[in-house]
Amino acid sequence: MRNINKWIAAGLVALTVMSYIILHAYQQNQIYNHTKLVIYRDGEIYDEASLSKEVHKEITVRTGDHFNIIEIKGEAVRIKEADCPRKICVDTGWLNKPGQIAVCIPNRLKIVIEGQSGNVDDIAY
Amino acid sequence: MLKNFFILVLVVVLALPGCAMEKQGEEKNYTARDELLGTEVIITVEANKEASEACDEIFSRIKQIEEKMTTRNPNSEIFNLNANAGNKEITLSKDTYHVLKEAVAFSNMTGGAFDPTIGPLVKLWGFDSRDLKVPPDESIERKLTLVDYRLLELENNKETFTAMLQRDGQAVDLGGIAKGYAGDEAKRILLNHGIKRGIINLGGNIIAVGTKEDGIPWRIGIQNPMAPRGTFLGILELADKAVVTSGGYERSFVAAGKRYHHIIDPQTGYPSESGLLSVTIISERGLVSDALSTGVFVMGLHKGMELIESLKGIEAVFVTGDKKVFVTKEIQDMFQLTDSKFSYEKHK
Repeated sequence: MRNINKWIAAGLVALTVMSYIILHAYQQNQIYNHTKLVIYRDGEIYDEASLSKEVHKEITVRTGDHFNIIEIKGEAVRIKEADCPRKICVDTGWLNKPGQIAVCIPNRLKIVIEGQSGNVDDIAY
Repeated sequence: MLKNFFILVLVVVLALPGCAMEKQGEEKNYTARDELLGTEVIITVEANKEASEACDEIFSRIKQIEEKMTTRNPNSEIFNLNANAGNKEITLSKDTYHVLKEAVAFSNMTGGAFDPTIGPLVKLWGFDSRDLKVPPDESIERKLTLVDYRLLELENNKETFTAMLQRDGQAVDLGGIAKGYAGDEAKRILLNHGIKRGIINLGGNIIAVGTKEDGIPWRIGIQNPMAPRGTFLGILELADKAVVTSGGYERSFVAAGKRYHHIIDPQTGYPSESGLLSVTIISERGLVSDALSTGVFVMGLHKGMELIESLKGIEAVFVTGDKKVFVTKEIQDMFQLTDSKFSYEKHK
């Protein structure tokens, strides 16, 4: 009887330790590895895509008669083509860190890599 | 009995991580956004029952400021002032008068490196539109004679405020100061509603209100001028400050293989070539940070540093073309360089 209780106690201790380990790993993963691309059109979320090594695709976003083509390649993303006059969004180039943004003001489009950006509350630019 | 209790304790302990996660997901902040002053305005404040009302009030106040101070709308006071340059004086609201008065004060302080009468040159280069081009030298020469803040007359007689531009063709452009003023007004409205902490972001101009919870300072990243927006090169820890960065990277265009940016030197008529990539000013007020960031960018590292070090309660971060970062003495320990491609030139 006494032995069974010991085993139960040991089992519970092991479970407790495991649950903490799993939780910790989960949180770490959330903070450091989980980055995603969020596409905003007219200030509203238009689409989201997770960024991981295997992905390589293009998303075409149409705003009225205009368009932006977004290219996702692994953990990096850029606005590959657009029909806006000055192509500032295309010139921004590849984004690959959380917090980075490319904006197309004429087409009212914004792409952001979301995720923990090195622990800042905001960025002055 | 004792053993049962032991098991109970373990079960509770097991459940604890679950509780901790619940708490993490709780919404502590309220965020609102709008497009105003030609940029994106994002307000993030502590979740308070007045937060939504306060944000609505801020957006309508900023809209009002924009309507008075834009150069584009024929109903704006600044449009009216410019249209009557060299002709007659214009009656202004207290708001616009106040911003013009401050603009002239910062022009004096920076020896004309900041100048609100830069309008004719902004227009000539096309920075007020999408039609960007390198103007011919003669046109620049001609417009340059119209850029002089000393020819902006301001008068205040009791509750009547007037202004006049002395020469025909002169034009005021408050692009380098109005956003800062709007930020100060936004902060005032938050405080009126009893909201003591939050961040107001007006297209990258940051007004940090109060501190984070428990008095922890805000961590504000300083944009890396050579990387996409949202990439920072260092972090400033601060409370209750307005942080404004001016840099050539914000708006520019390429013509015949050369890059031209939007911060025009009022002495030369060309984009400033002071050797700086960006300047960040940290002060109590958005208006001060906004006007000085533009002026100091044009002044360059040495003159700019000298000016800022002479002003109490105003600090700066300079990023030079050779990837060096300089800060004013007072904030040396509050600034942390995070991008090793830049070198931090500390005071000795």
